[in-house]
Amino acid sequence: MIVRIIRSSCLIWFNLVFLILPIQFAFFPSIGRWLTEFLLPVNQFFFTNTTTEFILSSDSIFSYGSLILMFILSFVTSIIIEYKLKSQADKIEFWLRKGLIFWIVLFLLKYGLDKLFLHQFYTPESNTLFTPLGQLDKDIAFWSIMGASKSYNYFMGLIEIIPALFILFKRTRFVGLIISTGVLTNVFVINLSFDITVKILSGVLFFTSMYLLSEYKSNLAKLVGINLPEEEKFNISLPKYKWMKTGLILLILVEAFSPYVDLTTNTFFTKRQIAHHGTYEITGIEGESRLFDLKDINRIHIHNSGYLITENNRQEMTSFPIHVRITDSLIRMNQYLIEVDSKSNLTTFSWQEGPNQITISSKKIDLKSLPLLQDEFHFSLESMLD
Amino acid sequence: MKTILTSLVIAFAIQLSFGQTDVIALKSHSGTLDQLDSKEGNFGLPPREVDSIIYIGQGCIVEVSHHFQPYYERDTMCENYLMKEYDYNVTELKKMYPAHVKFVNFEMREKEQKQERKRRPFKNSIPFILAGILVGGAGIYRQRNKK
Repeated sequence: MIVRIIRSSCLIWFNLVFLILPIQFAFFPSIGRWLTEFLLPVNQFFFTNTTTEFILSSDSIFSYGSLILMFILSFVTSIIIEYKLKSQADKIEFWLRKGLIFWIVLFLLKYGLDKLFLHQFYTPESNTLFTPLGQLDKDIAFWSIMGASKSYNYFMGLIEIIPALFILFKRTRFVGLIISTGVLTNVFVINLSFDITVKILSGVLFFTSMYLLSEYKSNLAKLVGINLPEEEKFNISLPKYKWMKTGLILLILVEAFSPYVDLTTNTFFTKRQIAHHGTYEITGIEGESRLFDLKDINRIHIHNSGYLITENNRQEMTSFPIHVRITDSLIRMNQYLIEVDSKSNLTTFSWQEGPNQITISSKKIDLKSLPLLQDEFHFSLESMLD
Repeated sequence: MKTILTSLVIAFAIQLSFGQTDVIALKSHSGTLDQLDSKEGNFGLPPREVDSIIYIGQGCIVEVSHHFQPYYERDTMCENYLMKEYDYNVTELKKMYPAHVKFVNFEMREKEQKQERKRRPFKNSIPFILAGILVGGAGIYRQRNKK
């Protein structure tokens, strides 16, 4: 009985955790965001450290608080099922298991496609490329290294998409779960080791995969030459259930693909680049600015997310939010309009601060020529030496 | 606070969507932890993109965003500093957004501005009218006292 309660508690808990994560879905309603608002006062009552600022972030105190609250709720619900709804317990467990399969397939497909379309690990930004490796935190260093290799991203994407497709079908589910458990163990350990703030979600995905795989005890035992009697599982086989399954698979596919498909043009979304994006080596400065200290800077980086980053002689970066006009040569920073004039690879940034006219002359650096961004492959050591 | 939040939303809307956590997004532009913005993260998945901006009157706009065309999310913002900065001028605002973003009903703003201009002469002349009444009143008072 205790084993049953623990088992159904875990089933309910994992399902609830997936449901309350404030993820913004592309097609499915973002139920997690509504539940986050609903849970906030309860969470704040029990966990006084909860701040409203980061309720939508992963791994915030709010997320950990919600995790504990959901566990208590799951435990109480499983006791109620055991004592009051015993006749329905198998049926409930069956649907909860299906729920977990839905979540794991959805997340594996979403993250797999995210890697396949190079949206998750993107090419490192110029300011990251010019920061000494030792100065980078582990998480951004890992993210940047991953973004440097397209082929590894394709591989990682496929290794998440393949088990997702295998898990969808009963006959291939066991193989799919073996692969997904391996992949998700790696993802979870990476997030822990490199201090990446997706620990809760990757942890729940890993434990979900382990849980679902543990239901194939006899198959696992066979792999190491042990014969275990097969456990009888409660199953529902209704024609309408098959329709439901097909519908759900279609919905998962729509959710997974929709961020990358532009239905108006029937093409895959291509990455857009901000105007003046890149790195500029400073060759001359005229005038004095209140915007930033011009004495020390030797490079300017324009970040794709709308930031102007100055780099000083000690390779220290300072970032300033900017608005870049797409159709002309102006950059807005605070109340000033910086005019950017590019002639071949020579670029000048000029603006007026009261009576002071400031002009920065620079040379644009060709980032594609940096060794990290070279997509080179060498079969042999000799070819590397050439 | 509301202004900061709305401007962050606008700034975020202009940005390009990459899947990354909020902390990675911050470190990517060499930001400091006090600038952490939870809107920039979606558990490492890409966030939504702005589709259109609709003017609904009295300095308010509705920002429509999507991931999947038939399903849209709407966010209403009033007195946004960026909009005010460019005086709701579509030609100027278009330069701030990606090319696919549509600007709807901004002609309503022009009508509002015209009406405002019509009202203004009366508003501006109030001190002169008051001064006129005072001078006139003083004149009548003086005339009566003479009698």
